Amino acid sequence: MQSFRTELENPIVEKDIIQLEKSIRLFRDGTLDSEKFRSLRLARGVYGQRQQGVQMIRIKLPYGKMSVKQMLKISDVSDEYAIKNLHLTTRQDIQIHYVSLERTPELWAELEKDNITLREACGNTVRNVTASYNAGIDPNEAFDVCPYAHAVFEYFLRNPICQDMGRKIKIAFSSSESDTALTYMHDFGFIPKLKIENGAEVRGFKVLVGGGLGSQPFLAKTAYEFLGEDLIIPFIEASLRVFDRHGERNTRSKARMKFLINKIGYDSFMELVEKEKTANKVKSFKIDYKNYKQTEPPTNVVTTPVEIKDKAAYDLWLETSVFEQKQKGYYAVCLKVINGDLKTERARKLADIVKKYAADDIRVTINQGLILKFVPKEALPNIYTELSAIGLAEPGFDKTFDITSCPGTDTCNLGISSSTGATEALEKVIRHEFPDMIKNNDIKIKISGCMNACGQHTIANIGFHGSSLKVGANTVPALQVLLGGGTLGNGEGRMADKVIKVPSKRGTTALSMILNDYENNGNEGEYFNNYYDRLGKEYFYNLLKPLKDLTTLTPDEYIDWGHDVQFETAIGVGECAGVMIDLVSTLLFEAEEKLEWAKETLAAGQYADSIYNTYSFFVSTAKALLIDKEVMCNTQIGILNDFDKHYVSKGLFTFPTDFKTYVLRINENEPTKQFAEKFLSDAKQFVETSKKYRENQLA
Amino acid sequence: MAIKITEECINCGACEPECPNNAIYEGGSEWRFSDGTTVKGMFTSKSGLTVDADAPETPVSMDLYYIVSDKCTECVGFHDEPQCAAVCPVDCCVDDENWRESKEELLAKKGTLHIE
Repeated sequence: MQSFRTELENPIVEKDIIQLEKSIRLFRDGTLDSEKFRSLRLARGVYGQRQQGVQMIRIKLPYGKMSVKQMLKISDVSDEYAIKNLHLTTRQDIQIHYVSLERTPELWAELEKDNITLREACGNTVRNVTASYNAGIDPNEAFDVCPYAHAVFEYFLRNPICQDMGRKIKIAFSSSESDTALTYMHDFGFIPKLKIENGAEVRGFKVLVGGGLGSQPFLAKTAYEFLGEDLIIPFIEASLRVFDRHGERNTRSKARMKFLINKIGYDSFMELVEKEKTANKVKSFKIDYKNYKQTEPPTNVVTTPVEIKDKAAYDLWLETSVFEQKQKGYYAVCLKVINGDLKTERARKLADIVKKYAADDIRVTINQGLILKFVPKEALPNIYTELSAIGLAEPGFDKTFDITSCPGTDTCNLGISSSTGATEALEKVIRHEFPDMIKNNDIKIKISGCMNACGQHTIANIGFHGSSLKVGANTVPALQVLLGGGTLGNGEGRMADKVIKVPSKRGTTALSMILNDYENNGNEGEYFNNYYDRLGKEYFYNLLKPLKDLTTLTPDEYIDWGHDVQFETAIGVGECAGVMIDLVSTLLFEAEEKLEWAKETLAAGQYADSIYNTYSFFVSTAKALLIDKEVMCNTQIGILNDFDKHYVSKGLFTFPTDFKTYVLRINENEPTKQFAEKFLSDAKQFVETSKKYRENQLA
Repeated sequence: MAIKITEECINCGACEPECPNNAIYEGGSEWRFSDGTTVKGMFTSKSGLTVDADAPETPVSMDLYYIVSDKCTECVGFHDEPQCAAVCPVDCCVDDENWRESKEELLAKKGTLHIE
């Protein structure tokens, strides 16, 4: 078989793709353990799907940004390898589905020709870095956060400190205090701030840490009210080092950073971070925003007189889906995309429209839409007419009418009941029964197919998540109704209360009842969440309680939205988890591989990286030897302690200090060449002593 | 009745923070009478178990979330219905047919766990 080649110029990327291809072959012929393979492919954007034998590919678009050329490339790839659809996600990625595993290296190589990566789109890594859809054009922003989001993305991509953490890390940048990137629900959130020091303007960020949704949501804590712009990368780096060392590894559902902070306490976490800064590659990282390639307005926009037939519809679109940028005279046009699904045929037509009227900078938004920028005022009637022709001139972007939804049971292994089908049904309710809500900016509706909250239902004013209800031997698709979540601004937010669970087909009635009650009982000008707080959870439980009566179920209610056969649950396990392989020799082999990387990075003068690889080697070797003694391993720090307990204190291994201190020299020393060399040579000695120990054991 | 978690549990953990008695634990974790209650010192539960309230007890399940029947009051006195069942996405928090208690008994049980 001819080995795989790419035509790429970047050797690092090429190596990545070739490694994926090789791993697929080794996995297919049974040489590579399936769990190990899974963790490898996940870190390269290749995810499982509800349907067996095909893959979902997650394309990582930092802050959702793509050029027209990139959008066309992704469309070509979806046509060739997937099902001619682009799924826009709440983390500003694009997912394509039903891809054959064997073709993924080829697909990736194709994308890389236009600088699009799959690297670290899934897996226990730093996931896509998101930013407000209006970053760079927001009239209220202190400064454009895109150069910072981009620098963070680049800094942590392929960084050895975050390749195999206990769980994933999500980072978001908001453009202003209105916090449209939802910093309060991320592992790290950043809101730009300016202050005057000695008469000069200084850039910095309010920093949030430890938030997250999922079945046990946590609001992030404020780490800094103001952290200078050049200190944000060092802060993330030190935190990730702490998370890698102390984070849970056995129980996937308790492994996110929010659980670590909750367990050891915020103050202890921050102390560990402070201590870890010594080991950082950088103490200060100046982000060169002046050299960031700014989005240019389109040139040579040709407008032709068009007749707007439905003036009211046009005005509604202008009012609810278009806004003037901070660059006066230019407008941003937001595209509402139902369920985030854009067929490639439409994407191509959209590309033509963008080329004519907008900047070469299309952003995927976190509510699964798109935003076009720098449309000159005089071109608005033209772009409206052309977008209308392809169904993308919908009013009500990011308003009540614009429901966010994950793919749910359509393609996701974790989905419990339909989210996209429910979304279509709920949007109909709003369109027909509450047409004024198209303009409403106060109530956000969000749906997920399960409790994990990819559809962000936990921070919706009205949220729903997929569930099931048992009725005798049968199961009925259900929706958990959540109320009162939302963004408060400047890094503050509130998590919605779970109010009641109702059969899915009654979700539409539930929505009508809630909105009618709000119209009738909400005070003049009262915001939805204030109305919810005033009446209380109990009130809404009682309001919706009649919908919970399962004695009145009709046959149709056993069938989920968008389906025609009776509902059955089929829930798989998520794929992001770290993988535990208990073959001692495999573990030792992998540990030595880390030592190879340590040598390579040392030779390349990347001392901090080399030191981290050596550190990982120590931990992995200790883990292998502990597993040999049938000691349960979890966190890295636990492994260091247990190695002392089971080996060093018993005199089986000796070091100048205890093992923990010996390895944690990593945060006692600056990442100099001298220390990197010393650390590596000590590691080599450990290879020898552990080999001898094993030989004696096996002899 | 106390509530139990069936084998259909998908380990999502949604129930855990909802329990007013801290009777729900993740599979494999040790439980204590004192967690989330006012119980202190040596304690005799309604079922007759006498232990140190702060002492860790053997997990009821190693792989799935579990409910300590001796700590479950079915949310009587707190909520209209058991909260774990109300939020469970797959409806696997169900009545335990082997652990039946009347409303009065449950209220009394709540009284022993939460002394005001």
